[in-house]
Amino acid sequence: MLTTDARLRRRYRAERRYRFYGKAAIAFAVCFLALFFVSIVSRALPAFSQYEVLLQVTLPQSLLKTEGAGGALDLSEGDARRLIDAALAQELGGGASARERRARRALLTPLAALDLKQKVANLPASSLLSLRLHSFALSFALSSSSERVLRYQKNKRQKDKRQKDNGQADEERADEDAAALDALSETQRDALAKLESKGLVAKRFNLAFFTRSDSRVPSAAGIRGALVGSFWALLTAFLLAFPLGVLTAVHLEELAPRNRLSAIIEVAIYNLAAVPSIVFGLLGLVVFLNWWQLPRSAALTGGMVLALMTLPVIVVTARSALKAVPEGIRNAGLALGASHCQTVLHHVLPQAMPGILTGAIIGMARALGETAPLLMIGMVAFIAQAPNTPLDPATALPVQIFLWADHPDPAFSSRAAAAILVMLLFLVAMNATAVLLRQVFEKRRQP
Amino acid sequence: MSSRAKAASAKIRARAVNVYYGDKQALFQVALEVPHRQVTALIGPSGCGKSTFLRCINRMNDVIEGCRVEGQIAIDGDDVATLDPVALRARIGMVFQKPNPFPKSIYDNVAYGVRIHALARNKKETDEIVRESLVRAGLEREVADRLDDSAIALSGGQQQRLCIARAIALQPDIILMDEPCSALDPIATARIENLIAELSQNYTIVIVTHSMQQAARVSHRTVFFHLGRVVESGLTTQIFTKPRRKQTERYITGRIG
Repeated sequence: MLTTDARLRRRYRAERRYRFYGKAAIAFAVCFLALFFVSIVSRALPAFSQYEVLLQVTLPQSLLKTEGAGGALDLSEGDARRLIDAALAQELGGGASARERRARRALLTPLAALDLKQKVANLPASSLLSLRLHSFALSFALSSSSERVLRYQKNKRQKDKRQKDNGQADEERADEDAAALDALSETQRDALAKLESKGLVAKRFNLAFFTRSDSRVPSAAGIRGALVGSFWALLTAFLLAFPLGVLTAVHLEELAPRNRLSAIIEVAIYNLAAVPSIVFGLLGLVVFLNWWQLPRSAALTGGMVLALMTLPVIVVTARSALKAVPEGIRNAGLALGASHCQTVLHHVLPQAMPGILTGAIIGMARALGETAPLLMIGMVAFIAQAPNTPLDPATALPVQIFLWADHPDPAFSSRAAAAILVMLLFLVAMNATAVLLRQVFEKRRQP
Repeated sequence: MSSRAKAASAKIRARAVNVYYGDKQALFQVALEVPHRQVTALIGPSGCGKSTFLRCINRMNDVIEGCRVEGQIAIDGDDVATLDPVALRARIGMVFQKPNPFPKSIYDNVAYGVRIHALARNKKETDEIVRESLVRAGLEREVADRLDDSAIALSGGQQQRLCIARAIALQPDIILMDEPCSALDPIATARIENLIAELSQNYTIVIVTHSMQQAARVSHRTVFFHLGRVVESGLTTQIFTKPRRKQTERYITGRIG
C-alpha cells in the first residue's frame, strides 16, 4: 500500500513537471515575440510621422511678368532655391552669406526645391494673372538630420521632466543619444530652434510613406512601389500556381492510378516543398531570364519564381484537403450515375475547397515574405517608380526592407522597420482570412 | 409473403462470380438469383463478401483499385459487364451504411440525379419528381416546408430516408442497400424497415444486414454468405426456421459470426 502511494506521488510530480516545462516553453516564446514587437514598433514609429515647417513663399513680380502671361509657371530649380532662401530669411532674418543660406536650406529635405517647383506649376493660371496670389504658405518636409535633432530634443525635454519628478539621473543614455546633435551645425540648430519657437514646425502623419516609392531621400521614400510590385508578383504567382496546383492535386488524388510513376511524382513533390527558395531563384534566373529572355527585375518574372516555390505547397495541402473528403460523398455521386469527373467537380472539389484555399493563402503569405529568389532575378534594383504593369521593373516589400535595412542613414532603417510592420500586417490579414475561411466552411458542414 | 416469393421471376442472376482484391480472393463461385420486386437479404459474418457482391451488381467495385470481377451478373438478362457503368448505376439505386447526403439543400440532394441524367424537361417537372420521391421515401411531410435547408441539418434517420429519396428519384428498378440501418437508432430503423416493405411493391431490393431480426422482418428471401461463398439461399421463413445447412443454423443462432 505504501509503495503504491509513493509511486502515485511520483507520477503526480512528474505530471506537474511536464506541465511546467510546457508553460515555460510558451512563456519563453511569448517573451521573444514581445521583445520583437517592441523593438520593431519603437524603431518604426518615427517613420510614420514627418516634421514639417510652414513657410511663406512670395513669388516676385519679375517672375510673374515674364512667365506668367500664358498658362502655368515653370520655375527653374535655381529660382525655386532662391525663393526658399527668401522664405527662410523672412523667418530667420536676412543678410546671410551664401554658405549660411545653404546651411539653412539643408534643414529642409533636399527635395524642397522640387516640391516648390511642382506646387508653382500646379497653381491655376487665372490666379497668377490677377496677381492676387503672389504669396502663399507651403509646408516643407524637414531633412532627416533636422528630424533627428528635433526628436532628440523632444526626448530630452521629456526625460528632464521625468528626472525632475523622480529625482533620478540617467546620464549614460543621454551621452549616447547626444550624437544625434552632431547631425547639424551650431548655426543650423539655432535656426531650427528659432523656427520651432515661432510655432512653424509641426509633426504630421507621414502619408508620403504610403503614396511614394523608393527614393534617395528618406523623407520622400515610401513603400508604394514595393507594395504594387509585391501585388503584381503575388497575383502572377497565384494565377499560375493555384490552377496548376489544384489540377495536379486532383489528378494525383482522384484520377491517376497508383503505380510507380505516381509514387515517384508524389515523393518529388514532397521534396520540392522542402527545397530552399534561393534554388528556385536560381532556376528562375537560368530558365526565365537567360533562356526565355523574360524582362529582368519585372514583377511577372518574380511572380513566376514565387509560383514555382508555392506550387508544391499548394499541391500538398490540396491533396490532403481532397483526402479529407469523406468516401461516402464519392460513393453517393458514383452510385447516382455521375461520371468520375462529375463526382469530383460537383461534390469532392467543392467540399475540399476551403482546405485548398487555406493552403493557397498560407502559401501566398509565404511567398509575400520571400526575398532570396527575388534577389536572384534582379528585383533588388533601386526603382523610384511604382510599376504600372507586371512587365515594368519593380521591387517587392521584403526586398525593399532588405535595401533600407542596409542603409547607413537611421531614417532609412526606421523606414525598414515600418515596412516590416506593414508586411506583418498583410501576413496577419492573410492568415486570419485563411482561419476565418476554414471556420465558416466547417460551420456550414456541421451545423 | 411466401406465395409472392414463389411467383416471382429472377431480376438479377449471378453465375460463378469470383472477385479478387489484388491477390486476395473475396468471392468464390457465387451463384444466386434475386426475384423481381421482392426483398432479398444478404446475411453473414463481417468480411464474408456480402457488400462486395452488392457492389458487383452496380459495378461500384470498378472504382476500387486492384479489384477484379469474374463470372456473370445479369440484370433482366443483360450482363452488367457489357453495360455502361454510368447508365447502369442510373438504373440501380444504392443506399450506404452511413447516410451520405451531399452538403447541399434537401431539394438539391434529390434533384441532383434528375439534373445530371436530364430526367426532367423543366423546373416544374423537377419539382414534381423531387416531391414524389420524398413522398415515397416517407420524408415529405417532415421537410416539405424547408426544402432549401441543408441536408446535413437532418437527423440520421431522416438523412438515410433522404438518400433513399435521392435514389428513387432516378426511377430505378433495383435498390441496393448496404446495412442501411446500422448507424441508426431503433425508431429510425423501424421507419426504414417499414419503408422497405412499402418500396418492395415497386422495386427489387437487395439489402445487406447484420441483424438477423431485420432480415427476418423485411425480406422475402435470404442468402447466407460465409467466407466468400454462398452457403445457403432460400425463402426467409425457411432459412430462419428450418436451415438445411449446419453452418447456417450455427450463424443464425449466434454461434459463429
